[in-house]
Amino acid sequence: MAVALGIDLGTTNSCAAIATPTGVEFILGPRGERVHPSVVAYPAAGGTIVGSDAKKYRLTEPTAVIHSAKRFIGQNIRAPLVQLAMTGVRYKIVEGPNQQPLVVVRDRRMTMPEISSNVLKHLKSCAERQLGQVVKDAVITVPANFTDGQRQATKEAGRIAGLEVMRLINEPTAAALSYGFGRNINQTILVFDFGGGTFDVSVLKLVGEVYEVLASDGDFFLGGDDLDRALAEVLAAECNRVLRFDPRPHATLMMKLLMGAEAIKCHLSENDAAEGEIDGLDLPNGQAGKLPFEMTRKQFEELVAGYVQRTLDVTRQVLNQARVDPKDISDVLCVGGSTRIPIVRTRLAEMFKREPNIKINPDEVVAQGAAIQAGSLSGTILKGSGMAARDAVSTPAHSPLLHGNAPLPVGELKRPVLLDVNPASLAIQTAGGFVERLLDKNAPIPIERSRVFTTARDQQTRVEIDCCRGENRRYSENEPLGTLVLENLNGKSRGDLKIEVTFRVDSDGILHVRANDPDSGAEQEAHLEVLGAPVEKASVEGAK
Amino acid sequence: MSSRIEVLLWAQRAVSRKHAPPHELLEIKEDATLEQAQEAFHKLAKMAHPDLHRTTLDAAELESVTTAYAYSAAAYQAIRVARLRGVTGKVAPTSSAPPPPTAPPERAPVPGGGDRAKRPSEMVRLPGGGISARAGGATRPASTKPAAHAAVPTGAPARGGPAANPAGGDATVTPGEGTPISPSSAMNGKALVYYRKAESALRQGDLRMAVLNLKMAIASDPGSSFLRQALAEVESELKAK
Repeated sequence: MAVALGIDLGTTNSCAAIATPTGVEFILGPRGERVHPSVVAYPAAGGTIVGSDAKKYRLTEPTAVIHSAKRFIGQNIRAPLVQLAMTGVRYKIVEGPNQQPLVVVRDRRMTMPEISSNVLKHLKSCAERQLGQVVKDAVITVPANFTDGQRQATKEAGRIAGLEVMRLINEPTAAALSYGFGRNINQTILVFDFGGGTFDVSVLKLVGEVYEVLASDGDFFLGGDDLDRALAEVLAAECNRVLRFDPRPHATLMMKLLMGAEAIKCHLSENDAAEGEIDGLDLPNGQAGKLPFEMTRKQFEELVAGYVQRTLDVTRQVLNQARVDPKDISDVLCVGGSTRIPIVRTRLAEMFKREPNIKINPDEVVAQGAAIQAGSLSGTILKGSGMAARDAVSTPAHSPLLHGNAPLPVGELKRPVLLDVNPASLAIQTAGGFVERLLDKNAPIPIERSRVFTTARDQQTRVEIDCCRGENRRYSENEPLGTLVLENLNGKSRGDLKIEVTFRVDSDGILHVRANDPDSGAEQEAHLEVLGAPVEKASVEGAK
Repeated sequence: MSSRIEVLLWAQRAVSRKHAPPHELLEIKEDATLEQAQEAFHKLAKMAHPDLHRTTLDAAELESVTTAYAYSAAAYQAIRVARLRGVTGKVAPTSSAPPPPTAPPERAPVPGGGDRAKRPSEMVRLPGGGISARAGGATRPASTKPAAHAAVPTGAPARGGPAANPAGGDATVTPGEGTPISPSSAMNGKALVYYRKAESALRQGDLRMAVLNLKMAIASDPGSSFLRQALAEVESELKAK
């Protein structure tokens, strides 16, 4: 039976693994690393370079090194937060068809799914080399609050990379799966996933092999990258003061400061103070600059306090949505590299009156969960699947498949049942600019619901059904998804015509909309197709 | 494997119950608590979650199981929302609920307003009442409306009440020709008893007993194509063994 890869496609780093009946095996990069930077370089010398090798070009060709593509994939370039995120990267992004962001490197224009597909291709080829067989199937994880467009674009990236994406699963859910798999536990846990670019919180109820997400929420534009940038701004101001030179307009200098900021952040996670200098700042005026810096952990914590507070606010919100009291949470899983920051853990411990679980490896647990789901969907994780038991590389920190190094009770292994949720309410516009909700936020998926609507005016022969995503009662305050048009209706007087609208959110969290007129039998089905930004979105804009 | 046929029979049953009250889809009592509903949904998910069947069912079968599961998820959500809001007792049928006695402003049919002036081609849409017995809609019962809706300011301009909503009158429309087949409508009462016995035999993996009961059911109601189809499926399963 063919192996299926579990992939954590992260903003800054990616990780992949496979699950076998004997354990989880991580896919190693060319230098034996388990964590692969989600960086793609297009050097002037030619070629496409991915992973840790691509990072090397950050200083020589900062505008040819594409990082954080996940922040733009499946997004509308005109969205304010996307515009803001664009100020944080040094490569060029322009508006393409359907308002999708396109990356421009010299004369090449690439879509975001194309960029991400290079990372996936890299992981695929690493896996094929390591396992000695062709790898086709994969489960890819996405942030729980990823929108329809982002999910479709991620699937598209998988397709371009030559992968059959069996399922997209939410990152916190994957972490919970990794935590609970094979342990037959019965508890309510909270997953706090603070990664490089995104932040997610999910509350899950684990009952045996069932993983029910009770509520989930997050902030798509909040991650370790933001902390680095805040720190880099401080360093830039310092540079301006000490060296009398403003580095902000210079891509290479800012990249250098950003790398310095990341190193300082990591150092301060282990130490109380960081002191040193950032050298190699070749200022354009010929000066060879060295920027001395000095920072205590306390200063850093003050700098990032606002960001940390935002994560805690979201956490409280999710607990409210789940109707779970902090004291009923039996474990708090810390996922994502940013949970290594001591202040994050301290604040969590204060909130839950218990120490968060740091036994799991925050960088690898999501890929591990994805691998388990991939193994379950393909059947390779189950006994007698015919897959050779390889010498699995188990995580030293915590391998859910090897509890206390005891082999897994294979015979009793049950396939996990993931009851994930719809991340945001889905609705259609009704008279007066209000919305009528069809599917609730946090409803279990896959889910399908139909509602019957009627026309508002006499002799209407055509209706437009504007679909949107969000919690607001006003259509204009929500995110538009696309419009479905039903035509050639027999224009009856208002209220007599019945239009049935059906929303289905599939297991990948992708919305499918159908509308029909039961009397004339006219039926239209629209799958809100997306390449960078939804096609329908463009037509909505055009209609205005 | 009998779990395959079990899940297919369940799917057929659940799809036919699309318009039934949520508790019927979950096969629980109408006044079940949140915990009971949750337990029932977990049990159902362990049996019918489409992920568990992707390697054993063909595409069409998987689609019917997914659809049935998706309806059940909506039923669970309706009960969950009601219970979390402190509403006990029966959750009204998601498909045939009449419109709420006092329609919030946005549910009332009124064209016009500034929006129309800006986009003359736009057609204004309105939610209707529950006419699902005929058209298959699943309207949310008033008791499970989200808080955001409950918070509609009463001072907002009233744009017609329930009387102005003609769809409300359709709530009593009797099932028409489009009504999907369901075990209870597909056979008479006596046959149904045998059919249920066949189901429980299937759950225990006793195919012979299931065949016997299905034959008894057919003897009681020879005209039911639903039963013949079920028998054919179980028999082919038995033969395969």
